[in-house]
Amino acid sequence: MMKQRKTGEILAVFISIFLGLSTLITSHIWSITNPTTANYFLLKVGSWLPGWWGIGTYAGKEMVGFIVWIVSWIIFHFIFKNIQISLVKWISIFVFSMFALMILIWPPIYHAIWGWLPTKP
Amino acid sequence: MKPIFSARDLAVTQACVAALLFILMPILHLIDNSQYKWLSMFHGIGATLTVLLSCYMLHLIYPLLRGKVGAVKRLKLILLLVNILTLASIVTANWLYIGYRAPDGARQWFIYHHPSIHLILMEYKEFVALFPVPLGIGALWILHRFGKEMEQSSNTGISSVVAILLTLMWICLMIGFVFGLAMVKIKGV
Repeated sequence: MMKQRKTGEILAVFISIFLGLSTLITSHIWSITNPTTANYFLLKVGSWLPGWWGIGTYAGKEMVGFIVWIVSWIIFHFIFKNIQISLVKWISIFVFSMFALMILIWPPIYHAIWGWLPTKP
Repeated sequence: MKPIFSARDLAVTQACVAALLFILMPILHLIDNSQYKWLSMFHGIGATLTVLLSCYMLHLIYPLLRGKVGAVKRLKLILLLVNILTLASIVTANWLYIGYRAPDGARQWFIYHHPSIHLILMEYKEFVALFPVPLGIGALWILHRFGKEMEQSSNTGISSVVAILLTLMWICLMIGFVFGLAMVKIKGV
């Protein structure tokens, strides 16, 4: 008889995706609100990528999102792998939060939230 | 009377014609005279192939939800290919982004002539087009870990999890594709 895997592993997948993509979005907002500090950091993080000089801070935003996604996935995988979760509840929460992220990252929305002019990136 | 040809053959033929015509869109940029012509063609072909294959992948979710034999294995293979194509498209996208941001490039043209295009389309697309990576790899991981269980009993909710992840992935791929096409129509890199 095969050992049954616990659905906690799926929760780790959900949470890490949400954290990684939130970090991507937060780093973008951060680079607009505080460019001097944020862009220095983001350029540094992305500087190992080929062509980073042309990609700019976007390379760093990709990198921080990627790192947070992978690291949090590994951590949460080992935390949650022994528990069972309610899939119905967590699917609903995940779908809702993903659509929330997709709406929040649309520039007209976050420009309206912070009251920025359309000339801001 | 028996049908003259099978529904399956007709569906495959229709899909092949659609795929061929869609692939022609980036290839026809060969006539373009931009400095980044080859790179934009690579990115366009990669993105089109990704979206085409992801549409096929979406159709493989239905046998998975119905618990058909062999559905997990087929979906795993196609999802792996979609993930590879997505990553390849992102690599060419980053490469092409250098041209987009270059002095006198498309970005400056947009900010000068239509700032809203840069804002509403590009600034959105460049982030949403990254969403399919964790969604696709996460779904592949779940298929890998729970594949045997899903084949033994179809009453688990795990196939629904995979279906939701892949549907979200497909929506994000389509957003990237449609917004990219809309931008190229106004000003190519």
